[in-house]
Amino acid sequence: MTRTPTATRQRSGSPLVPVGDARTVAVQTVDVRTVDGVRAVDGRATAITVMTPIKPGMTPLVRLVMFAGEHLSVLAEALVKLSFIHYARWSIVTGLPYNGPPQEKERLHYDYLFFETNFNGTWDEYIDAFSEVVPNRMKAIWGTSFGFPGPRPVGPFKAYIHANDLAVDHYYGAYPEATTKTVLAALRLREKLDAFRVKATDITDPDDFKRAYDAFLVDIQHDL
Amino acid sequence: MANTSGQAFALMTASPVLGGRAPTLRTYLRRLPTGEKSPLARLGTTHFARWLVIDDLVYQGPPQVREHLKSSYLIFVSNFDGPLGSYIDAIARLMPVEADAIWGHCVGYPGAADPTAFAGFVQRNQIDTTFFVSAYPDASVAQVRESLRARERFTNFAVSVQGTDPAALRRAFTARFPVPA
Repeated sequence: MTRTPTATRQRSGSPLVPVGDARTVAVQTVDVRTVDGVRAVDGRATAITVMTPIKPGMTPLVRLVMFAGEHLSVLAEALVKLSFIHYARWSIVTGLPYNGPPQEKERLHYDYLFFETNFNGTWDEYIDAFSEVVPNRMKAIWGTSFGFPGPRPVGPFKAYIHANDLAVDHYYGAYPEATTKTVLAALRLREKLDAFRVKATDITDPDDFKRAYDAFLVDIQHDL
Repeated sequence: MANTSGQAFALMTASPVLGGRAPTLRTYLRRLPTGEKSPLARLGTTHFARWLVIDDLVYQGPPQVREHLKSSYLIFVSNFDGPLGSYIDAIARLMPVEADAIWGHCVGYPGAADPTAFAGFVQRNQIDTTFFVSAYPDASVAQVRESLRARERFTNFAVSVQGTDPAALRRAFTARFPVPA
């Protein structure tokens, strides 16, 4: 293996950003209020927060889609394909908490679908990916919300998400410079490295060690 | 319960903001230091979290009937290493000044000085998660960070020993990466 230091340290990009692309997401000290007031970032991590009204009577269908998603590997596989998502969740909001006076009790006309996600890459790449990779899933989840134009073409879909994207006032990520791919690679590498460290103590002959070490490098080459 | 995935927990709370306080609260949140200096960094178990103040709902146009919120709401969303009880406790213990400065603008907030009351407030304002996914649900923040560090250290090592003879390589490796504790 004759990689240069720069090459081995190059970060893996999201599947949609060619490695070596000069675009970066943001620097850490940026005010969360960016150009259009809604896009929040911390390092390479980007936040989207959306809340949409569910059409009357459709809530059980949304729950079913989510329940199925939790129990079917198909969705998990689809989301793995979108390998730039760190964490994401959906919550069906059927009412807002009441803490007593002077708060006036809220009586929502609709249930709302709340969506929160943490990913790396740009806001546009994210929506593009959902539109390209899991359009049927998008239709199943947001098709029951008012105003959803469908996942394709992506223009109206982006406009819809943008219109419903809520401004974040403080955003925090524990490892903001790491992409999801990097995190996964690091977790895999550490596990293999720990195993090799144990194995290494039993290999006293230098040539045997070199062979084992080279085999280890091949094993982890994609995780570096 | 869909609040968890692996060892990770998805918390969401929505707290009504006292009349007229939303702008002050928003300004405070926006001025909080970010990154390692964020108060959330002290907890050590937060993967990603955010605060947002919403003044109203977004109207989608007809046939939806327009509706308005009677209050602004402070929404707190966090993805962290469970369990929930320990996390809420840590907020009260490790960032009480900021917790009071933030949730102090909300109706019914008891203060972080009483951990039981604080926990009660959080849980009363909790909204259940319906579907939660993570790319690495079994990895804690500590494990992610240690792994990222290990990857960087090993990469540097591998580059530095290129071309070294086997005996020197073995010595260097066992010195740099002894058997894990």
